[in-house]
Amino acid sequence: MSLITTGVTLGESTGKLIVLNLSGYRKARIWLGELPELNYPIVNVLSRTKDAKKVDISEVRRTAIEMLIPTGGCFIYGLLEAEFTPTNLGEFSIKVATSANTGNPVDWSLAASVDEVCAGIPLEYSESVIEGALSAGDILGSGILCFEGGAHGAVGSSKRIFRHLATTAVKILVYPFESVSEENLTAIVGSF
Amino acid sequence: MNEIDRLLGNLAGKIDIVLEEKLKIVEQHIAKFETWGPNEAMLHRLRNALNQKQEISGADLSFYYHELFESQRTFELMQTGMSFPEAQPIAHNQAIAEYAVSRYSIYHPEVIEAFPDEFNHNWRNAWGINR
Repeated sequence: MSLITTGVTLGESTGKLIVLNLSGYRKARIWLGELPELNYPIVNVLSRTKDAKKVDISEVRRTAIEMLIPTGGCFIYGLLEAEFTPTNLGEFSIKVATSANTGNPVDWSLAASVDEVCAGIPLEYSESVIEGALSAGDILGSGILCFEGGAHGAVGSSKRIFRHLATTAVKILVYPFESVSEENLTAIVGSF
Repeated sequence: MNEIDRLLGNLAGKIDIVLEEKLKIVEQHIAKFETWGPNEAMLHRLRNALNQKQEISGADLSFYYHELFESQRTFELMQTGMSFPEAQPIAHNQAIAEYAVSRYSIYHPEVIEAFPDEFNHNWRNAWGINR
């Protein structure tokens, strides 16, 4: 079951927000277009570049994915924003803006009642973000993929969730947003 | 009080035995969620303690008591009209408060070490792993 809303104010975003209730009481929120405000001081930028073919994407696309996964003993959590800018350079570049381990609290987070959530992508998860984006394959083509926003939980965040969020982001960015369906998103996000 | 005792709160220094009927309650509660390796590992430790008639303590006791409390409290909250996803996070927080344990006490350090992609540095720091 999902809820699709537009013009929401969550995290100061005015884009399209899709809420997915997945199996095992997992929950996901996906923003398309305008993303929530999750600014943080950047302490480093990790990057990776590889050859890529030109593909059909002609406009800048942005998405954010937030997941909360109850396990009983804890709640796995992560939020990752991604922006893809197509280029004609024949290469695919990934950039991850890393943060300190602590940052501004995110009180509207799905995990706010069960974890200490703050804005940022700590170095601990940055390499996993790159791995996750690369594992999706050459589906975006030539361009720059930037991860410059995110949120993490002191207890529930892990390398695995951030790898999954990055893979998911790439798979979502391939779709023209007007054609993204609930079935598409459920299949992509729910594979964790 | 040392760091591990602080992690274990009211469970520091406590021991208990695993009972078959209570372990089944824990297993049935955990089965409501997606399969997750660390849960399977913790359940294996409890099943092993039951079979070997070994007392449990520390993280094993924290996990055992946490899931028993969370299961029961979730059920009680659902009797008031809450859905499972509404009740379970509340029960989770109440279980942690009940035993005054750290959120990092619920998985055994051997399990944390066995699943490095599933637990962040705060878990390792809490248990003094890799220091």
